[in-house]
Amino acid sequence: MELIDHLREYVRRSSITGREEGLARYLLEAWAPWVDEAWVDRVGNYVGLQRGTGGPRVLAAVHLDSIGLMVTRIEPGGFLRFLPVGGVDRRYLLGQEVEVLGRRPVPGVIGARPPHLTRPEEREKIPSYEELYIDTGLPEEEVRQLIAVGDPVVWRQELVELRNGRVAGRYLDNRASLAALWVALVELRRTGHGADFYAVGTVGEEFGGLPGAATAPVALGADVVIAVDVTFGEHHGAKEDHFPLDGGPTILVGPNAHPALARLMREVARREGIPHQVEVAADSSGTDAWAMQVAGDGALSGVISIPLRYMHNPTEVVSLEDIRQAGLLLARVVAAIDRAWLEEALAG
Amino acid sequence: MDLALLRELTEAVGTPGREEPVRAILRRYLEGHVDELRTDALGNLIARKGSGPVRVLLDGHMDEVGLLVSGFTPEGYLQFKKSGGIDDRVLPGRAVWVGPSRLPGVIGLRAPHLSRGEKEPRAVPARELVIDIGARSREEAMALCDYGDPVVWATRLEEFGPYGIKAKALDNRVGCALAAEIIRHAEVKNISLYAVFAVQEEIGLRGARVAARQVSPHVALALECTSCGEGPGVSPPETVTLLGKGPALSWMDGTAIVPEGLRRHLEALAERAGIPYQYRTLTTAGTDAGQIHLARAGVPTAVVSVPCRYIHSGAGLIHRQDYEGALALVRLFVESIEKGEYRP
Amino acid sequence: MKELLAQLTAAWGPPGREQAVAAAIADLIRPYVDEVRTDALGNLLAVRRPRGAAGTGAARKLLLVAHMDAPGGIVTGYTDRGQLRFAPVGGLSLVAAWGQRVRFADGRLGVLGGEPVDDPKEVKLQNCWVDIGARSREEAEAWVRAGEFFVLHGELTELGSRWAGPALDNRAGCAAIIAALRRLGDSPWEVHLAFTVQGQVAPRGARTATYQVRPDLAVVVDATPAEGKEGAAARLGAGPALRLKDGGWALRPAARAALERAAAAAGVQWQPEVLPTGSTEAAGVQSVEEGVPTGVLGIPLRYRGTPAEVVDPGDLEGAVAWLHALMSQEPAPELGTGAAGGA
Repeated sequence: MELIDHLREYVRRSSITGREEGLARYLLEAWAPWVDEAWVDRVGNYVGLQRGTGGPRVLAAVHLDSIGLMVTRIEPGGFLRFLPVGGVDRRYLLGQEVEVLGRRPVPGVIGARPPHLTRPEEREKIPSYEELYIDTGLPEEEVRQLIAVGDPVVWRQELVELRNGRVAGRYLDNRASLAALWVALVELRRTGHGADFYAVGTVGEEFGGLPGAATAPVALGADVVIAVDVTFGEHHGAKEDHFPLDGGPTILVGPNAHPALARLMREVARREGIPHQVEVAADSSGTDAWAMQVAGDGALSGVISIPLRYMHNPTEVVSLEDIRQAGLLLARVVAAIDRAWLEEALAG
Repeated sequence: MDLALLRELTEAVGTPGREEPVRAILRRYLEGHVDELRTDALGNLIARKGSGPVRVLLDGHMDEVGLLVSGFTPEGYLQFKKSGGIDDRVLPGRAVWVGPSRLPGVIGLRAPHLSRGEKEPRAVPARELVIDIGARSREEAMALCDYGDPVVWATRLEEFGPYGIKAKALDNRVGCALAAEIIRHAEVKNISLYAVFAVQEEIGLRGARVAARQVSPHVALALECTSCGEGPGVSPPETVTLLGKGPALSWMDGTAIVPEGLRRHLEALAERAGIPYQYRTLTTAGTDAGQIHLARAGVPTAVVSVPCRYIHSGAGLIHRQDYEGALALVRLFVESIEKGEYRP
Repeated sequence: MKELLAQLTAAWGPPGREQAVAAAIADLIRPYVDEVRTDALGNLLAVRRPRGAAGTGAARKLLLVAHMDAPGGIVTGYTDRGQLRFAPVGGLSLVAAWGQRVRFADGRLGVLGGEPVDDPKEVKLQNCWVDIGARSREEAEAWVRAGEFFVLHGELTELGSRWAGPALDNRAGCAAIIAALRRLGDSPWEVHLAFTVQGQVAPRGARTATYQVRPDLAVVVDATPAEGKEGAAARLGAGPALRLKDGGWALRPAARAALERAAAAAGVQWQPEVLPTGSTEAAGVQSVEEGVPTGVLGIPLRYRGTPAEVVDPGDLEGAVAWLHALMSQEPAPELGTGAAGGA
């Protein structure tokens, strides 16, 4: 399977926060050739271990969950009411195609009062969650058999190949990073490494206090933690803090990244000729690294991000080359981490 | 009080996550005077003296609110982001230091002559401001400093009259200085005294969280510099604290409720020694106590603060006697545990 | 149940000052547990070891959590006319508390009030005070010290077929656990109970309590707002609620399966709950150390944060039956699947 095939499989298995188990179980199978051991832990994180030849424990985290909707009520007629899970923007909901993950996936569209019944001034407004509903076209009785309150609703948008090695689709936040993590696993298996490398798919990043990221470093006794996530890609009308596609992954600088690890990442990228960009965050990086850094007794933390356009839209866009380079950067950084480096980073 | 230490500490550059200059000063000050001195994965400096069974933790956070270099304009100006809670209005027209080496710079505001047509002056959002270090191009600026470099107000410590001490970063180099002075001179046999010089307090009490877990103390004090809203037309409890009325004890804040027994013990010590003290009458905001008290199985934690006017600006003002009072009170507290008069 | 609730709601316990509640609960549970103690922050922790035909090996640990504290306030200063300036502690609603009686630790009463207002929107902390009937600042200072806490005053009364009273959030949760414990027979679990401090400003006590237990499954029992308009809110009298999501937490499959199995075993009628806002101690419990599968069992409650919170006996009885079944049933096989794997 090529990179894009992996990505397609991850995207297909996406679900909302709290319902990550499908993707986690899939990784147990799909990544088996590249890890020495793998399991799903008690909070639902996927953990794949590549043993090193003796070195610190390095954990790379990619969140498995996605934003989406949750069914809150089945109305007469079988219409479904819902609430958002995570950072959903109501502006793209009207007319959106979705999939309700009930007893089986049920396709639906999001509706509101039709245009011929709305006044022009109403059309300036974005309907509230009280006004929106999902229509599955099924009779109410069947809806009630298939769907329950609490069922996840996800965007219905398959991966589309755009020009120049760019792809569009749902939930590339954070399936793009999952693909980068796979690239790193493949690369590290090829090159070998000193550190014990834990590839972790975390639960609960998009919503609800980062329980996966807060606990995995403690369970695994990680010395170094690296979050791989997406960041804002440059696009039409973007102002500050946006990074061009194909410019390579971003390396975080700021309190959420240990200065020594950020420095190592930039040095490795320069040395290896990996295109990269620097991203500055004055407090939280908005990734799993925020919780991982202060889990347990604390760990040296860093963040690598893939530029992504239209974040949290059902049609996010990334460059496959950025994914590849992010995976490569991660692999080279992990390979560069040994006990001596760790000791030096902790001195002073 | 060791004014030289406080001067050196407040004039160091140390924003959240970039506390290395402050750490270096404290290391130098404590090296050879404590039994253990180490830096953890977040950059917390943890000092220990004594190896008795009761673990006592004194916390003072090293970071100060400030700015971070986030980009470079083609003309050679530095763009920045705010690290910690800063009021945009205290930025324009100030000289700053960039990076640990204290490269001089200024945050300029367009000349008033050019601001015609604006009747009522409005606050200029930080994102519209840049730092001028005199560089003439992006390349020149990038050769002089880097992404993520810390930026702070260029403020020297000065004595204002017989009691006033004006400086930047009193929040919380005051806490660092208190903890450092106490552990350096402490004589302990029965307890293990820890001083934690914590990172990243200003962005969410992050250093203290992991340091407290490592130390796992039986009792802890967060040593802080707290707001004093004293001024014309403000009366208690809105003043929060008053300058010169002694160290302030907290009942609670937005992150912790101080156990009554521990607070009363501090009050009793102060009363016995004739140290004036006051209460911090604000019940919101937070200190490292908010994370320390939740470490592992839980830690009784109190907060002792030195009142500071104009906190989180380029020039704060404290009263020497409040510092002295806090120093004496915390010393007595440590002694009371060392002597077994108080059992946490 | 009514006597139990009356006893618990009468105990004085604002956040951070829960000692009286802890003492009352300790007396109530002592005959039914093997150990009971108070920890460094004031949590009341109890253990009941497995009873009956327990399997071989170490028993799984089940932790039930209910916070003990009720909303209150703290005195921060005085006015020149002898009223007390104060600040809320926990979920005290000024509008709801305006004109109500409050009670200090020693039993002294006060009235929370302020400048006359026509519109509830004008009720602001700056124009509110607590009136203890003092005629001067000096008198007030002599009667109540700055830094003292108070709670809303009231007593449990019958309201038709329901009950109304103060502090039912979350003494109702405490009562449900106590009642389930009293009727518990055989149990394969090592059952841990944590009656926690500072749940009004959670997660605090629940976090340190969980650290001490390190359970395989935790269930937070808490009052939950009834009759809300948004999302799937609980209805009073429709049974205890199983929370699927709130403002900062989502239920995960392992805990959900265990709770649904127990509900089915006990024949408990429950309601699913999906909320856009709000949170419980579960948000903290789930992330302690290597993580804890955590569920939230809600007891529907109306008029939260007032001296007349209303609960339904049927909902409470459902919660008791549910908790009883949970403690009695074999630990679910899905718990801890793969947890011990690896390193």
